[in-house]
Formats: sequence, C-alpha cells, structure tokens
Amino acid sequence: MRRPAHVTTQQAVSPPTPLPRRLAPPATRRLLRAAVPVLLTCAMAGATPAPAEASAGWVPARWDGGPLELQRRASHGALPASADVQRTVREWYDPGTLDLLQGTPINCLLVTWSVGADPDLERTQQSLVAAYARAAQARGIVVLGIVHAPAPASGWLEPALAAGLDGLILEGTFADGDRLAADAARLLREKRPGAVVVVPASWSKVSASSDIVAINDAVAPGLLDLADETEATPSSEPWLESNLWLVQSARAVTGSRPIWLMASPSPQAMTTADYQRAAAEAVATGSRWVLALDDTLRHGLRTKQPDARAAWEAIAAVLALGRDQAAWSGAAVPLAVAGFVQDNAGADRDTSGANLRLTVRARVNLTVIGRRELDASALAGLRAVHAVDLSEPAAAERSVLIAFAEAGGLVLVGPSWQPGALPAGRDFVILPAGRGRIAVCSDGLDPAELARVFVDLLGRDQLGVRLFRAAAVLPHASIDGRTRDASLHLVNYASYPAESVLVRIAGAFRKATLHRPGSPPEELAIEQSAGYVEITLGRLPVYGVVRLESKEGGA
Amino acid sequence: MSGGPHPITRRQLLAGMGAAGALSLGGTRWLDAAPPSPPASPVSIARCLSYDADLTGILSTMFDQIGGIGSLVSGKTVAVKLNLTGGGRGYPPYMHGDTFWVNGKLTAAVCHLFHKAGARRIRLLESNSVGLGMEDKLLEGGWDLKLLRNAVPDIQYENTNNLGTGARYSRLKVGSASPYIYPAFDLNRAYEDCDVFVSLSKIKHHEECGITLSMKNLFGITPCSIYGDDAGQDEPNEAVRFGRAAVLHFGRRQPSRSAPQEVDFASERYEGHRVPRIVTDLCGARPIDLAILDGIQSCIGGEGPWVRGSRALPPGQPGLLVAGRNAVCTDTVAAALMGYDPRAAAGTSPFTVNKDKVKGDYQKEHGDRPQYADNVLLLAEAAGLGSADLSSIDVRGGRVADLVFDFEAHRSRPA
Repeated sequence: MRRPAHVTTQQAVSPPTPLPRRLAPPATRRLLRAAVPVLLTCAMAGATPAPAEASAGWVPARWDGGPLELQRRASHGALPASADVQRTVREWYDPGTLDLLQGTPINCLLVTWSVGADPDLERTQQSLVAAYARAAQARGIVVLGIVHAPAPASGWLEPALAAGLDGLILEGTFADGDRLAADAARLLREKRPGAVVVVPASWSKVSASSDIVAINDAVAPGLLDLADETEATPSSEPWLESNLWLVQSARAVTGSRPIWLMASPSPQAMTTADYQRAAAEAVATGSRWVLALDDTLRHGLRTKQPDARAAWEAIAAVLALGRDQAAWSGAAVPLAVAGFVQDNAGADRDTSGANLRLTVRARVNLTVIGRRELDASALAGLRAVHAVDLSEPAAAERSVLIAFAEAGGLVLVGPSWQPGALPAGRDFVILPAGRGRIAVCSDGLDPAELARVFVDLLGRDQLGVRLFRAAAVLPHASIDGRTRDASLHLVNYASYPAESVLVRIAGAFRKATLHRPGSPPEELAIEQSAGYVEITLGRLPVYGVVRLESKEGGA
Repeated sequence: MSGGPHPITRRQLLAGMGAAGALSLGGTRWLDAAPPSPPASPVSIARCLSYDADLTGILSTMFDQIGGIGSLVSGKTVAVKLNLTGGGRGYPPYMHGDTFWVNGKLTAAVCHLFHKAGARRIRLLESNSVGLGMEDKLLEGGWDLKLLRNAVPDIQYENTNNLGTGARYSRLKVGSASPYIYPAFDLNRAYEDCDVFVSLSKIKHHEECGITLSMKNLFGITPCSIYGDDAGQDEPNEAVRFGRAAVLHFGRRQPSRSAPQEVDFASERYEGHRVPRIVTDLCGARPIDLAILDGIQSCIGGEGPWVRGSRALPPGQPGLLVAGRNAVCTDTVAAALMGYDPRAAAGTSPFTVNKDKVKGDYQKEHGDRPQYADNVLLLAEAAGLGSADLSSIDVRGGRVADLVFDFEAHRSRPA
C-alpha cells in the first residue's frame, strides 16, 4: 500500500529581493534559458519567508487531467482502457468541472502542468490549464500546477509565472531539487506573494521550514487482511492501516504548518467509504488529505451519474465537517496521557515510526515530543513517557526522565539506559524510581510487543479514552486548553459499520454531541461515573466526532 | 460421579488412540481391568433461535427437565466458567457474544435463575489477559453489563489467569487414578471456593480438539501465570502476557516448578494427543456440576476468528440450547446435535486438528502426519467422568434427530 518514498525535501522558500516589476519577466526568461537552478539560487539572498498562513485554509484536491495527463499515463502504460474515460480525463479542464466544487469546502486544485513531454503538447496543456486557472481563481479557488520530474524548469516555470498560478507541486526527484524549489518559489512570489512550491516528501524527511508539509507516503487507510502473511492468535487485533501516527510524527517536526497527505489517484475504483475514511483521518488530526479521484468516479461525475454525485456529496460532507471543526480546534491540544519522545535525527526512523504507529494503534492517547523539546514542561500532566527512541540518552535527558518517574510517572526506555540491567531472556525489567517506574526494554523488541508492554504497564484504565466494541476504530482526542471541552474523533477502518461503540473518557462532561458527515448533530446520553463518563454511539459507518462540553466550562 | 462397571471396548481404545494407534495413552490401565461404568444423567435440549427469545422461560424448563437447580444452588456459592476465548476483531458485524463467546443475555438469564433459586453468591470466571478486567473484557465483546447487574445486583467477577484476588493458588488433584498428563493443577482459588461449578460454553468447532463444548471450556481455567509461555520457571509469573501453547499445547516446557509437573514429560508431544487429555484431566480435577451449552448462534470451522477458514453462522444457527448435570453426557448429546458421531474415531470428523498447510506450525513439527485429535468424549468416558454413549443418555425436551444442525455440512459449504 505504501508508495516509495521520494528523496527530495522541501527547502525553506527563498526570501526574494524584489526586482523592478518590469524587469522581472525578461530577466527570468534569460535565467530559465540558461542554467536555471544555479543562477536562481544566486538570487536568493535577503528573501523573506512566504506566508504559510495563506495556505492554512486551503482544502486541496488533485485535479489531474488534460491531454498531458493522458500522455503521462500512456508513457507509464496506465492509460484508461475505456475511450469514454480517456475522454473524461482529456476534457477535465472544461470549466464545467468547476461547478463540482460549488457547495464543497474544496478551494485548492492541483492541476497537471508539466510532465516533460513534447514541447508543443506541454504548451497546449498549459494554455488549456491557464484558462481553467483563471476561471477557478475568479471563483476564489487557488490553483497549483503539478510538475512531474524530471521535466526541465525551462518548460514549466516561466509559463507558470505567465499563467499566474498560485504555486507548484514538484513531484518526483529533480536534479538539485531543493534549490530548484526555492528558486521557483521566489520567482512565483514576486508575482503572487502567497504562492508556494510544494515538494512532497517521505514522513521521515519532512522539514520544519516547509510552507506546506506534503507527505507522499501516506497510506490508504483501512483494515488490512494479513491472513496469508501472519499467524493470528486469539487476541489478535485487526491490522489497521492508518495515518494518524504519521501526522503526529510530522507535527512534532513542523509545528503548526499545514500538513498535506498526498496520494496519487487510485487506478482502481475506490468506495465512497474509502474516500471518506482518508478525509476523516486528516480532519481528525487537523491535516489535509489531498483528494485524488479515481477515474471511475471522475467519469461518473462528468457524465452526471447519480451514484457518482452521491459519492461526491458524501466525500464533501466529511470535508465540510472538517471545515466546521476549525472553529472548535483553535486552542485544542492532544488529550494525551503519554508522551512519545521522537528523535527526529535518529538513525533508525523506520523503527521509530513503527513504535509510534503501534503505540497509537494500541489506542494510547499521546503527544509526540521532539527530542530537543524534551524537558519537564513537555512532560507536565502526562502519566507515561515512551522514550525508546533515545538510543543514547544524554545526561540532561536522563535527569528529566528520572525526575518524571520519581514524581510517579512511567518511563519506557531502551537497554542503553542501564546496560546489564536486563536479565537474559527477559523483554523488560522494571526499575523502581521514587513514586514511579522506569521500564528498561530489550533491544529489538517487536514494536507491537513494545506497545503492548507499554499499555500493560500504564494500565488500561489510565488510557484516558477507551473504546469498547470497536476493534477496527481508532480514536484521536483533543482538548481545548481554555474551556476544557474535548473533541473525540472516531475513525472506523472497517468496511462495515461499528455498532454500539461504547466510549469511556476520563473527565467531567455535561453534554455530548455526535457529529457525523451529512447528518445533523445528535445529542448523546452521558452516563457519569467516578472520574469518567460513558457514551454509547448507535452506529458508526466511517467517521464521527463526539464533542464533549466540560463541566468546568460553565453553563 | 459414580457408576457401575463399564468395560472399555476395543473400538473405544482404538478411537482414543487415534490414527497413530501405537501411541501411548498414558499407561496400561485401559487393559488391566474392566473399569466402572461411567455415569449417565439426563440432558435437556431445546430449539432456541434468538438471544431475544424468552431465555429464562426456556432455561427454566430445561433445568426442570434435568431435575431442577433449586437444591443445587440454593444457599451456595456458584462459580460460572464462561467461554470467552480470545477477543480481537471478532466476526463482524456480529458481536463476540453472538458467535464465538457465550452470549451475555444468555448468561444474564442463567444467573437470574440461579439468583432466583437462592444462590448465595454468583461469580463469573474466565482467564483474561492480565490487567484486563472481566467487565472490560465483557464490554469489549458486546455484553450489556447493565442487564447482568439487573439480573444479579451483586454479581462478582474474577480474572483467573493468575492469582487474582486470592492469596494463594488452589491445588486441585485429578480425580482418576491414572491422570493422562497432569496429576493435579494449581488454579485460581475461585475454582475451589465454590460449592457449585458451572461450565457455560459455546457449541462450536475447535482447531485442535475438534469441538468446543462444556469440557473443552475448562482448558481456560489454567492460569497462564503457571501454564503460559512466559510463566515463571520456579514460581508463577503474575505479570504473564502470553498464552498456553508452549506448556499445554505442545509440552515444550513444564509449568512453573511450584505447580505439579507432567506425569511423563517424555510422552507424546503432539497437541492432538495432549489437548483432549489435558481437558479430561481438568474435568477430573474440577468436576463440572452443571453444563450449559449456548448454540443459539455460533461459528463454523474453528473456535474463533483467528482460525483460518472459520466464519460466523448467521443468527438462529444452530438454534440450540443444551443443559445437563453430567458434562460428558451433555457434550455427547451436543456432539450428536452437531451432526457428529460422539464416538467417532480420532482422525475422523469432528476429531481432527484443522490447521491448514499455510499455517505451517503443525507441518513444521510433524511433517505429513495425520492431523488427528483424540476423541475427548471417549477419553473422559474412559476416565470415568461420564458416558459418551448416546443410547445410554436420557435426552429430554426433544429428539436429537429433530434438532440436528449439521456442522460438517456447513463447514464445507462456501461462506
């Protein structure tokens, strides 16, 4: 399911020194005709950061199409078999397709701009797209051009400037790609100050300096059947493909910058639920899933088939729910009982990612703490810290973790914490520390087992949020720091609805409301117990958000 | 549990020995003398198609048909061993308690009747993951705990996978003179601290034993702290995390030394040989006073969703309830209701080990050996626990032939 990671990273967008407006186009043309990347890099000095805020409200959709898209697919042997579908792709930039966006939150289109094909065909495409972009922009829609590597800059940058695109997506591996991206961004911003250049990258290579953090190895979320690959055991949980952890990991690196989960359009028809689930995960984490329609759906939409229209509206309903939640989530922070210390520069990011993924899968509500941010304040209010990522904890890090344990917390660390402490054949050993514990785990302990140990040691009743009758549902909880209101996002990864999901959440709440895409809010009965409330949801096909109003918040 | 003389037939002997007829059956006692006839007691059967049916009414009638439960439970502490094997994903869209766990509504009805009959204390027992409370496990499987609390306001729960709330383990000795694998077991005290012991189990297939019925349900009374893969070598591991494969299924190691060790650690290690014998030993150590079998809805092809090829049956299938005071008799009748010959030879349905070649464990260890499971009913009969002879059992409430649900036909039918 996971697509190969790209090797490029998005660089800091170069701070431009303004050129006289009238001189810019000819100068640019000269540069492009020459050695574009090198010369443009020389012009970077003194630039100012691009406004990331501008892109924070963008709700993106891949809108690949036109003759160039067909050419690209043909070169990959992936041309649609049906002539009708080919026509749909070719004519996708008919302005009528913009009508699809009416009433949806989608306000950012990613259009096919350059694939490095025959120059005449590229020009035809860009002319078509330029007109389409103008029509879109007139409707308040942002248009970003997708450039597929290794298309030479001479074929796409100047036309993009001329067409007034709002930005570019550089997909694939370009020679000297980082500098190329920076230079392209600078030139675009001279014309459109809010313009961006997005370079999708693997989750482990995201950069804190990106305007938009585009992750290109997100998975298609769902329930994976591993029956032929693994031996199930009586307590086996279903394998859930999820991006919740991935966004949390990236967030620890990139802060509040917009995070986009990128996926290419599926060659096979996807179900409506597949689309909704992907969008829901992003909504839950405050990121954006870049909608990428499969050809069957696109053709259905273009030919006004009722099923396709219904699917489209169902997808848009999830995105709308995300837009509506923006008002709730302004001051929200993860409702975390545990911290996961992430070494963003660690040597083994794959294991780090697996540990985080499976800890999230074990339904531990956590906050990811970058190694550099590890201090007492970062751990305040937490009950446990997963610090196995610290391969060699420094003295200061040890002090922070020991103090946390001595105050009653649980700390999970690797064998380097105390060489020799772990008896042979044991997975972990508990070292008492004040009122708390330090659990030293063996090296190479399977991430799933490590997550299980973490939950066992922490205690299930300490998880903050617990779900029952929901084997294929993952929660993502946040809390408003001011009002103490909580939002609990529930994503169902199965292709069948979860029935009668029971939610137990720590805290005192006076009102619970279930928000589901396309349905009016539904008030839920709350059963109050000592220290927590219980809520039962009737039916959860794909996604729902439970808003809990705190008793502390008044009223 | 007493009875008159009952010689073991050559057929029984061969059935008990399975396809590998030369295997040891745990000594020569089989051939020494005619053992006493195993006891037989009435078994009640009923058609019941839904968990929303009048379960207390149906059960009340069934209990009456087997002599009533008033004298059995009045003023007594009743421990009910539930069949809540595994967990995880289940068979969507059904709840665990519909398909591979005993059902919550049925359990509430049973407990309500015990309570109404004057039971002093009712305690629900099962061995769960350490750290997972019984109530949480039940919630996970779709049980309605309010229903249970309404049925018996002061109902108790005990996770018996380790010491639990007790101060020490109870040692329960296998009743027969010649136990098959273990002479005694160290168990959570709840299995001793009760006057009446009830096995409330599902009617379903089992991967290594062929069928899960009331006797097989007792496999889960063994605490993993002692019988688990990561049980302590010398003493129980109260923080145990793994299952019983190494110690019980395959006999790769002994239980913690603090507990009784195997009679003969050099005996056959094959799980199709061991599991039915251990089940029989457990039934000899902790006799079942009342066996109740939930076949209102079930699954086919294995005891739970982790068994490759298994699947849920739809609501109303098999549509059965079975109850009896003798577990061997009750299971014998239930096996017949499943469409099987309760005296079938090992290696013939249902007494087979159903691990396919992809799974690999069995093949890695045993090559091409036939995947037989010894007939647990005949082993129990031979141990004097009860009769597995359908003709000697008084079946009440209906005719077996009228209520048969052919599990084998459904196993081979496409989903």
